[in-house]
Amino acid sequence: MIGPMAIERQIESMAEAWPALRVVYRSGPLAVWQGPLRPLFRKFTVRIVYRAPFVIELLDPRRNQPRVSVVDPLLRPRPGDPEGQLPHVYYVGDGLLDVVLCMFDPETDEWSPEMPLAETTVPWTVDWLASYEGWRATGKWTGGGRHLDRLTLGGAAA
Amino acid sequence: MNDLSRFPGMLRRVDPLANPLDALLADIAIHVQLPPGLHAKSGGRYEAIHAYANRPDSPLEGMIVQFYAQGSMAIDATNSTRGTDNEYDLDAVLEAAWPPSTTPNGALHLLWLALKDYPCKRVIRQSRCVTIQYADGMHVDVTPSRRIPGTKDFASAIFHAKPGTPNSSHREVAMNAFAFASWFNARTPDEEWFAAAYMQRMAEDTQLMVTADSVIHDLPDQTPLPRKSVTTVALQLNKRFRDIWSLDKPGRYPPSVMLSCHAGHAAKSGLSLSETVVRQALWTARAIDEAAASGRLVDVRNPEMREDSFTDRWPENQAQQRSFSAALHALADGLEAIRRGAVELEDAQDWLRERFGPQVVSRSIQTMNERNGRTVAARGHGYGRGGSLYVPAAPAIITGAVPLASNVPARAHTNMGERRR
Repeated sequence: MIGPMAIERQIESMAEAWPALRVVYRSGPLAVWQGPLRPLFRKFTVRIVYRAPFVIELLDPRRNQPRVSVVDPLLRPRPGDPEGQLPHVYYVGDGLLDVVLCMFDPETDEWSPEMPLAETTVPWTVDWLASYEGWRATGKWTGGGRHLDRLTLGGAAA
Repeated sequence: MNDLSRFPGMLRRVDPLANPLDALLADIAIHVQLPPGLHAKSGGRYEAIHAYANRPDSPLEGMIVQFYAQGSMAIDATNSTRGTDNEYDLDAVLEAAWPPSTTPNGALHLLWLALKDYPCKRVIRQSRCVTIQYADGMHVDVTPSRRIPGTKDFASAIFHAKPGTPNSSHREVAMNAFAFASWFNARTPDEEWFAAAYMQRMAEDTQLMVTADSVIHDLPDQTPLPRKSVTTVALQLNKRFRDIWSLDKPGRYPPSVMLSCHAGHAAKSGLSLSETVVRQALWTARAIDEAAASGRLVDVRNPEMREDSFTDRWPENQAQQRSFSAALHALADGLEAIRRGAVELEDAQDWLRERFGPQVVSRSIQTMNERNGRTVAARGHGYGRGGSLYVPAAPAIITGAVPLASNVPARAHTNMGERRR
């Protein structure tokens, strides 16, 4: 087993691959990156919050996963849409826009803390935003994926 | 504009459709242009009309000197007819050795007699041509002409005689459509980097459309797709913009040949499609602004024949030309804003629908959205260091050494999440 990537290594690989995403907060194993991504037409500012787990922690992709939110422009929900008012997100608060993006299946090995965010979270955010822009314009989500009817970040589907 | 803000370090010549605005504009141009199936048929139809007009016992038997494409067909910039999405006007010139006493009305009538029983949907005599209408939406305007002796090759006069009007209003009009098309084509060579990517997009679209409309789009397997320069495709877009803009405007509308002439003057190699659309739009707008500033109407002449005026029937007044110039400036400003990343696709769609037609734009955005989805699902995409999604224009480009600044590979992942309606 390789073990989780240390936050220092995550920061290094992020700086190398995505220089526009800057660390805006750092505290021990916790880092917050913020910066622009422009998948298609619009430039979005995104924030990535991630705490690298310690080696001795039980690794759980659902709990450990980075939290990606769109800071600007605000996401535009579409109530009643078959894909959901915002497709493929976790709700992390009471507000309609209190969401983080959900870009991998935690029941599979698509992502683990052993992987660099620069090669998983960021490109998947680009994919998600491109699908989002297409969905807003056409009503069709072409990014694929699966839905669960009720899901929390820290726990199992209900 | 270029792609460097989205793909720093990437030469835009590697893929001219890497920028999504360029990709979308290419899709719009493909959806308004003469489809490859009809493009392939048009050559045969020209030959058939020529042969029919020259048949034994035709009033024109033995008189035809030349029969050639003119207008948009001669420069491969044919769009659907103004206000439609599936009708196409093509133009041909029939140069004949008319008897010396032939009047404008006489020449047009003789041509009509020669073509009136042509096997097609309908044959109509017009003021300057005879129109042959086909059931599949194609129209061919055949314009009779005579050569002007002692002048440059193909310098000609065409005939103007509106049916039912007195002979005194009939006249001959100087023109050299052939030399103009040659001038335009010489200035706008198709560049491999753009032509190959555009052809690939045409091929994709044709595959999709063959099943949707076999009459319009049916293609023999080996039908060649037309090769187009970035100037020609940008011209198609500016002509389409003109068509949509003028739909609710009274009077005549800005002539295609004026836009073509400005496109030829504005031609510059190495520009992207959106850059070229903006450059052409501003070229025309500035020509109008300059004329208006000195109280004149814009005057555009055939660069190969000064007597051939491209603006003899439009603009009719200052208000008309100023209105079009303002619309062109707004087009350029809007495209620049989209290029800067200031507009979401959803909002850009509304803006583009008003300028290029609602159905065509919606269909083009659907095409692009589905292409992006397919490419990402197949992991055929890449990323720029600025967080851009790179969807290659052609498979050859995927396998080539694309110097994307980001070497992050595409990995499979499953979007999950809670569905709240």
